Amino acid sequence: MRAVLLLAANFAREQRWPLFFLLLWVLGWALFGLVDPERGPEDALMIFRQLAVYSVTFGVFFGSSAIQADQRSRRVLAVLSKGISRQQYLLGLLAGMGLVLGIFCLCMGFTATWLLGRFGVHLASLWLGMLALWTACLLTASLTLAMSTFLPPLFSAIATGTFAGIPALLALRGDVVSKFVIPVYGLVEPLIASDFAPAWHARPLLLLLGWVEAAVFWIIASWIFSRRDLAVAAE
Amino acid sequence: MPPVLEYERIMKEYRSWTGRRRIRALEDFSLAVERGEIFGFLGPNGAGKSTAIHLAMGFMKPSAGKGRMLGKPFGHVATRRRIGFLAENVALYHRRAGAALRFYGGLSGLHGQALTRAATAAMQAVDMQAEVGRNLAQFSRGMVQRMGLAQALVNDPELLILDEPTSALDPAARVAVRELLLRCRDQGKTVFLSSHLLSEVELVCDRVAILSRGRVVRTGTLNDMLEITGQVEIVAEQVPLTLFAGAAMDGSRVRFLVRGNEQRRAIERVWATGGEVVSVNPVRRSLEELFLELTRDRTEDDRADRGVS
Repeated sequence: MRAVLLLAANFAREQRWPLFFLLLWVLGWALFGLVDPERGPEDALMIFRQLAVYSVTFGVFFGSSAIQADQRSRRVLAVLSKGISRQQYLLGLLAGMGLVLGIFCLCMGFTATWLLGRFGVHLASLWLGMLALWTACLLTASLTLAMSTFLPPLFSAIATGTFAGIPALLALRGDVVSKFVIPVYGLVEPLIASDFAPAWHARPLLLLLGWVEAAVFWIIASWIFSRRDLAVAAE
Repeated sequence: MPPVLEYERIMKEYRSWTGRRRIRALEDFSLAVERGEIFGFLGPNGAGKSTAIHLAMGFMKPSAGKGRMLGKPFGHVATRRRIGFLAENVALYHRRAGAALRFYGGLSGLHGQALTRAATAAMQAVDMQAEVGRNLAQFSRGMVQRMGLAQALVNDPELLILDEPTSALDPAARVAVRELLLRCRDQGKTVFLSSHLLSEVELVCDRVAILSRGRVVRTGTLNDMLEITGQVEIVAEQVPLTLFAGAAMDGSRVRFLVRGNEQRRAIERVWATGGEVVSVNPVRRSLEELFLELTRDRTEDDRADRGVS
C-alpha cells in the first residue's frame, strides 16, 4: 500500500504543472464572480458546466498518457525493478490521477459554493454533484488507462470516447438503462443540466457503480499490462 | 549452492503487431551466475544482452525456456526487493537527488530511519552526497548515471544487475565505480555486469560470457579465456638477439616467445650465455582480441539473418 501511495504522490507531483493550469481556469472563474458580483447565475453556471466537461476530458488525458510517458522516458524500468507488481504500479497511477482530479474538483466545488451558493443553489446537492464529477473523472481515467495498456494514447482516448460516449448518446435518446453502462454521462448529467435538486435519488447508486466499474477497469488493465512485454528500446 | 541467476534454454522472439515479422533476440540461451562473483556479460550491439537482462527483471516473458533469480522464477515481485538494477541510459524522475533516492528506496520497501540511512549510504557510495539538494533535471548524464547506480544500491541488494553502468562516466568516476563493484563483491554481493568497455570488464570480472546473435559463444574465467595455450614470453638482459628465433629488442632487453614445455630450457640457455632473466609470463591475448575473434564473423551478416519474414 505504501508503494501505491508513493506512486500516486509521484504522479501528482509529475502533473503539477498541468494541474496548476487547470486551477488557473477555476481561478479565472472565481475572478469572474469578483469582477461582476451582481450578474445573475447564468454566466457562472455556463462556465461551471464547461469545467465539469473539461474535468472528465482531463481524466482521458491523464489516463491515456501515463503509461506511455513512463515507458517512453524509460523511467518505468527503475520503478518496476523495485519490489512492486504491475497491478500496484497501475493502482498508483490511478490513485495519482484521482488525487490530481480530486484537487481540481475540490477547488471547483469551493468556487461553486461561493459563486453559486448566493443564488440559492442547494449546497449539499452541489457537493454530492462534485463527488459524482470526481467519480466520473476517475472512471474515465480508469477506462482510458485500461485502453492505454494496449493502444497508443490517441487511440486509447478515441476508444474511451466511444465506450463512454455510446451509452451517453443512448441515454440522451431516452434509454434509461444506458445511463448505468459506464455511467460517466449519468454522473455528470445533473451538473451539466445544473440540476442541483435535493431529491436526485439515482446518484448514490451511480456513484457506487462508478467506483465499482473504475475498479473493474483497473483489474482489466492490470491483467493486460502484466501480460505485456515492456518493450523499451535504449536510445 | 544454486546459481544466483540462471537462464535455462531461453528463446525470445519479438513479433510485429501483425505477427508476420519475427526477430529472434535469444536462442537456446543458457547461463548461470554464481554467488559472490562479478560476472561480465559481453556482446556486440543487438546481440541480446538487454533482452536477457529484461527477461530476468520480469519486464518481458521468454517465448520458451525458463529462468530463476535468487531461487525464484523471473518476474517474482518479492525477489526484486533483493535486487539492484541499473538500466542502460537510465532515466529517473526529476526531483531532488535525496528525495529521488528516498522515493526509490520507499518502492523497495524501506521506510523511516532505515530509509534515511540507506539513502545516505547510497549517495556516499557514488560520491554524490554534495548534490543531495539538487534536482536531477540539472544533472549531467554522468551524474544521472551515478544516481541510477545509487538507486540500485539503496536497498542493499544481494544481486546487482548493471546494464552499461559506466558508459557516461568520466575516467575518474569509472575508477570509482570499479572500486565500488569490487567492494560489493567483498561484501558477498553478486554483480552481473553488461558492458561494452572491455578493458573494465577485464579489470573487475571473475567470469565472463560472450553473447553473439542471441547465443552464448563462450563462458569462463578470464584467465582461461585469455591465455593462449602453451606460449610463454621471456624477457632477458645481456643476451644476443640471435640466441632465439623471432626475438626482438626492447630497449636493452630481448623479448621472445617459447612454448611452455621449452621454458626451462630457454631460461637455462639465457643463464648459460651469462644473461639474466627479467620476466617470464604466459602469453595472454586481450579481451578485445578474443571478443572480436568470437563475434567478428557473426556481426557482418547479423541482423539480416535474424529478421525472419
